[in-house]
Amino acid sequence: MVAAEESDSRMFPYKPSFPLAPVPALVLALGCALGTAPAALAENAAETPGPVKGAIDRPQVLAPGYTALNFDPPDPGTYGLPPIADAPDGPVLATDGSNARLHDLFAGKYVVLSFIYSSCDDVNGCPLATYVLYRLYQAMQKDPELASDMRLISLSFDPQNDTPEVMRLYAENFAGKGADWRFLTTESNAVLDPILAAYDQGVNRIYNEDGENTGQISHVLRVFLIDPQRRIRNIYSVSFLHPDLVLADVRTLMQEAAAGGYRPAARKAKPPLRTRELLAQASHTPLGLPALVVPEGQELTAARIDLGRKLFFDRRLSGNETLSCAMCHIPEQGFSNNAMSRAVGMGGQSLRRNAASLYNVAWTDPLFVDGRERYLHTLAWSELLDISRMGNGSVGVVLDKLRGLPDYRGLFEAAFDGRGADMMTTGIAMASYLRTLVSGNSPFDRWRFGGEEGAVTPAAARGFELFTGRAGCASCHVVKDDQALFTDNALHDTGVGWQHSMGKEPDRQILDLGGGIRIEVDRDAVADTAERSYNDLGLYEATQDPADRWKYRTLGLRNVAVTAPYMHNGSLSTLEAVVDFYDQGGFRHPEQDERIRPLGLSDGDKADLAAFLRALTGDNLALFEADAAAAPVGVPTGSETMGPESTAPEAEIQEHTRPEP
Amino acid sequence: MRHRAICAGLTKGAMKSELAGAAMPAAVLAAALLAAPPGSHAVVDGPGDYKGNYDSPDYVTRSYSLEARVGRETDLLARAQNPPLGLPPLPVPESNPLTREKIELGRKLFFDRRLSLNGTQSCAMCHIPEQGFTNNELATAVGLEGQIVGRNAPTLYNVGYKTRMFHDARESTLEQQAWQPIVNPVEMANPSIGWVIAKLREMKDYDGLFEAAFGDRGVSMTSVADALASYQRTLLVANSPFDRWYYGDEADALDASAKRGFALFTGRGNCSSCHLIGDDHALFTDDGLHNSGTGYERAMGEPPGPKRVALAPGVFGEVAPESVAVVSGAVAGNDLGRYEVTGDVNDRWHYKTPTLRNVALTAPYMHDGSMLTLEEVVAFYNRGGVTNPLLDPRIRPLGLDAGDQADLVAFLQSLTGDYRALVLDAFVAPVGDVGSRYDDDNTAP
Repeated sequence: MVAAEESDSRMFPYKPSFPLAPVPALVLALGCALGTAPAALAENAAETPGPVKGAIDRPQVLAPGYTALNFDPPDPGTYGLPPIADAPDGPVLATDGSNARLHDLFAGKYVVLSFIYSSCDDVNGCPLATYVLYRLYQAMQKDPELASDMRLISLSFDPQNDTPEVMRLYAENFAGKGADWRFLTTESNAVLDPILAAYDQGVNRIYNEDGENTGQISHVLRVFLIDPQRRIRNIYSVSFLHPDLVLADVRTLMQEAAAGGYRPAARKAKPPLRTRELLAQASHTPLGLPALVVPEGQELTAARIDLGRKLFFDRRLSGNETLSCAMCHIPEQGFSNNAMSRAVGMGGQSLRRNAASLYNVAWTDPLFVDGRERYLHTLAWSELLDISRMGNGSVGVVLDKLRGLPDYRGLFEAAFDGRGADMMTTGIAMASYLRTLVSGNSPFDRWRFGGEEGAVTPAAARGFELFTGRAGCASCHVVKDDQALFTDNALHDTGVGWQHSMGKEPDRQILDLGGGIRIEVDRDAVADTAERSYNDLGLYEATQDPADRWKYRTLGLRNVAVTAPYMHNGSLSTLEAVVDFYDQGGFRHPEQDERIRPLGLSDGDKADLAAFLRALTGDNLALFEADAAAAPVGVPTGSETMGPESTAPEAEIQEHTRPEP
Repeated sequence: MRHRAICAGLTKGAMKSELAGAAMPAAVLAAALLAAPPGSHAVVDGPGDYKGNYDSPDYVTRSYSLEARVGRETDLLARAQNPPLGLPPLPVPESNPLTREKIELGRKLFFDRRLSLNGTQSCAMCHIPEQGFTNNELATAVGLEGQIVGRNAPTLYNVGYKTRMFHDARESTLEQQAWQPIVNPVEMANPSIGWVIAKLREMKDYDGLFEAAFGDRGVSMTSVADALASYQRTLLVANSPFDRWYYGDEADALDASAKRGFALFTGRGNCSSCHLIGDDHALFTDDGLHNSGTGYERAMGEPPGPKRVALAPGVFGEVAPESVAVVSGAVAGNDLGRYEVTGDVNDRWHYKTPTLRNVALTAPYMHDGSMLTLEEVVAFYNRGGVTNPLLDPRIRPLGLDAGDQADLVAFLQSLTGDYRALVLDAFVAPVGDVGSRYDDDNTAP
């Protein structure tokens, strides 16, 4: 992707809606309604649409479906797609106005079904769906097998405006070009609504103050993959709708059909949980870490770790069953979140602080960046009951749920000598899993504590000299003779919090567009798109002592290279920025910790420090990631509304495990 | 003119303590307080000052002095083991059997202001013993630093029988309920559960108490909860005139009006279809949730026109809504009742049926404290509540005349039990006081 100025208006920004005009304005009209012009797309399909001049004052974050995937899609056939539900039927109208039924139109093909309306003006709504379908259309044109076995269907949920004639104008563009894309509508809302309900496709028609239909429809983007047996096999939301992923899924289903149809994975085929390895690490901690001290009565056992892991990844533990602990503390992102400076909580609200990494949390005391919690087993409840985080209204809501879920039957009793789910057992189970996240034996550890001369680069070795010497980092990020946690577990004022409270943030802000692309923009330009940023007084909020304002806990630096962004509010994106920050002496103000002062480091010194910090990454992260990937994620209890199959408790939950990386 | 007079009166009276009882020996006073008829004694029956005569130009404030507020221990364990007439046996969870040590520790925690973020607010400051273990002066509770809690503080009398807690029934046991106000950011606002545990471990006046009550467990997430639940479980109040008449066969315990009220309550008024009365005992609640329209009315916005506002206790005036808006804090969000727990649209504006025992002591009424008197409540149900699509079908216009309504109120007033001993017992509890959160020497003896 190139800088904004270099793009041109062929692609974006997406224009607001206007009525579809008859031919010859069709191509233009379609282009806008689809969010992009097919003609232009044909030439530039592989390119990424980018913002244009002027887009900077109203930035629009584009869904991943518009861009190249930043990872390789899984190979077809390496994973399974269990049927979710039978695809519902319903009466529809074809482009010639004739009556048809959805099931007949599925025609024994692999169907990608999308609900759209032509005047949709949400760039990440219908235009995204249509853009992705268009990319699929192109792929079908190039692949005879796909062309013959696949069909794309766009069904309007706006029968008033999207008449068969309007849909015919769409379809004309794609007729007779070697791939099959149908555009359908319905007789009326009365006919349409049962279909939408059956597909669980909620829509809200928006009326103005006078009670008139504005033509706008609020809806959640859902695109369905349906197999030749008319079963829904995947449902794509805005974050996962991408042509490469859909194609991988279609090819997976084709391979499955060739192999004789869908067979549920055998029980023993599920990836082994690595609990014993976790236990072994916890009892003999990796090089560079002190021994793990577990509170009395909270002894680590395999049953407790397994249960804690299950709880950690279970979305059903949140008030509306959408969030799990692991959705802010993402295993593959250092048990933190690399994509967000501040965490996002219940209902999408922005929280005030960065999700801290959970590696080596067993040695963290006090907990949270403001030090307001003291014990891991009570921390679990702090999160569960926080109305802006896991959002549970009461302890009973959580415990009653755990006591009722079939897949938890007997697990608490097995882990706690017959004691069922209560505040204590739930807390201890989660604490047990968290305590196993011990990570050491980094290049630094092998060099410093293991006597391996060549384990770190000369730059990193020089960085260590600075770290413990002239730069004074180790006065808070403590390194001992035989081990190092890189924290004094105390709270200090560096100025980051003060700067935010005083409104002294710089006028220009680095905006991370994803995929490593960053642009610098005026803070004002994004102010109205960002959620209000609340004041944050750090430790003061717990102690109410004015001397504690803007004090935050010294974070351990182990694995720091994989836990960006940095500082309590995620305001610094790179290790280099952090080193620069401390080199300039933080943000100077009277209450600042006196150990933080301008350091006068050269560029070379700073590079050495960064090299040292990159040598702190432990050697066992892949183990935790693989272990986490095998954990069930907890299918929301409401999902049985999609069909009877998803209610099968245990087998179903096992199948929703993610493939091993 | 009058306004100035009131202000002058406030200033003059603020210095005075007018209760003669302050001179009596404490034991004599306690006996007098215990013996006084229900509702008769301002020290144990309401806010600690006399608020009559506010509209009189020669008004003076009469605050009852703390010396008059004498306490006397009562045997809470015995009360729990042998509940007063009209109550069933007290259910106690196997995991938390009642002991004297736990009850006493729970009482200490209940009254300890240091259990809040800034050391100002205890459980007892919303559940005030001399105000029916609720707050007679606030429609909706006020949390730390004046924050709006949004709902009326429910009475804790007979809370041990409740199978569901909070107006929206989101909690199921007293033990589980205990931590929630402590860490709720708009109530006691503690930073975390662990923070409170660590603080309790440092408070010298708690040395040994948790160990005595819980052995090895010491101060923990569950022992704090178990102690608080144990104390609250003992707050049993019954043996009211109604109980003595209905369950104790004392024919004269109720007067004729209250008896007629009972007939209406169980008959034409249909009140007892939710406020249940059993053959051997009565809790006056089905612990169910219902839509009476109170929540609906509030959610749909206040009716237009002037509002009736209490300008001072007992003094009301009609004020334009704009004038109220200028001085009133914003209402903190809509309140959808049970819906907020279940997400089910059919649960909107459903609230739990409160017990009616001791209802004369627990004004104001409804989940939002929107009604000040029992007369208002009876009139509300006589109108059939507030019509809305989710109105409980049992609530419908009753066609009661003024005499009927007065009889119902008389019946409700006959439900006040022998609560006085619990209030005096509460007065004995040490109030863990400020000074410093870490300076434990200030605890009252």
